[in-house]
Amino acid sequence: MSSVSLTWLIGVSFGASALGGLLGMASGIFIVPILILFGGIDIRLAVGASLVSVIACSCASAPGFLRNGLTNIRLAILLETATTFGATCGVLLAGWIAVKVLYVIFAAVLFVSAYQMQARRKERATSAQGPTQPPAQAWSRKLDSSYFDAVLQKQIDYRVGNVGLGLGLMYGAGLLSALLGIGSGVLKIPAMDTALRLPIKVSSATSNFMIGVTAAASAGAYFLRGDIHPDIAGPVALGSVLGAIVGAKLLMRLSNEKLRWFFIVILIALGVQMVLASVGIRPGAR
Amino acid sequence: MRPNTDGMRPMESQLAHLLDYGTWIGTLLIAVGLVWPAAGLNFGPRPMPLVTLGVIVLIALPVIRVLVMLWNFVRTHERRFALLALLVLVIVAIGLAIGIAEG
Repeated sequence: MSSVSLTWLIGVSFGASALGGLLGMASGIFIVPILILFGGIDIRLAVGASLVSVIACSCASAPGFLRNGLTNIRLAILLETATTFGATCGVLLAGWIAVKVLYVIFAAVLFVSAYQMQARRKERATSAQGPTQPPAQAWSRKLDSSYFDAVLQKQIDYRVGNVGLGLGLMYGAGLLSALLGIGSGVLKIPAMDTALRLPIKVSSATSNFMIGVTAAASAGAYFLRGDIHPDIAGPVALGSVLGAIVGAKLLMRLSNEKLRWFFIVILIALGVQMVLASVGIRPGAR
Repeated sequence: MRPNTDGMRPMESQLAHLLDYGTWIGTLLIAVGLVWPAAGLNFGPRPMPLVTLGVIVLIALPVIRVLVMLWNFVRTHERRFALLALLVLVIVAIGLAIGIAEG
């Protein structure tokens, strides 16, 4: 067991979640490396604790998206078969992969996230109405839906793109989520934007909705396996939920551009530290 | 399933309520469990069981959400989506079984 205090755990999770919420990122990607690098907490316990906070943040923000009609729950249940399957495979794999290798995978995810943040998501003008759409009679047409765009003040109809590719990427997202205790935005963003070609608002709401059961699939197994310690997972979940609430409120007031670069720097710094930790160098460790 | 005028679809509204209350209950249990010993309150239930219960509520919440979706899809005769919800529950159950076997 580590020597970190209750206040440290709550504080760190609060900060990570408040800042993460500002750019629509799950806090796991910050919390796990911080718990490992600065808290000296075993990666398995850090992953378990982070998964509980990922679930809490997903469930806390889902009602708002549902009430705005942004969440596509039929598409979600379809993709959840892939994410939960990936998560279950991740649970099996987690015991086999060396900790060093997990560190390196985590570092890679941090670097790719930094790249994605720099590239920034853009709404396609042609949305998903192009000629490359599957035929209208396909079963996947049942997944098409619409939402009311508050900015444009009109109902937007959308169609769901390549479901097969989307399912494949979602399987990977579930796997990464179980191994690393993260929300896996890294794979969900290409899955939702590029493969399924959803409007960004629908994509964010739906992937936020899905991450709850995805993380629950692995967190349930880790809990029963004894890898979720309530004295770590409890404070981390509490801090994260409070942080997410504050982050959402701050969102309106801060300049996005500066914040983005701040995040890119943090993601890269944590990635470098995870690489160093994989070869046994830990500058910030207690 | 088109939205009605205020944009609220029935299953969505049910799920929103469930997740709202569930998150509050789970988080509150954890908060009380953590504050209890910190405030020097040494009577009543022991603190860690409350935190553990809160963690269990949070982990169970999305699974209950899938159960509610299954129930709704069965009621509206959306067979394919009901089967998908059932499949998700089966996969989660397999994960839990792995957890027990390795625990």
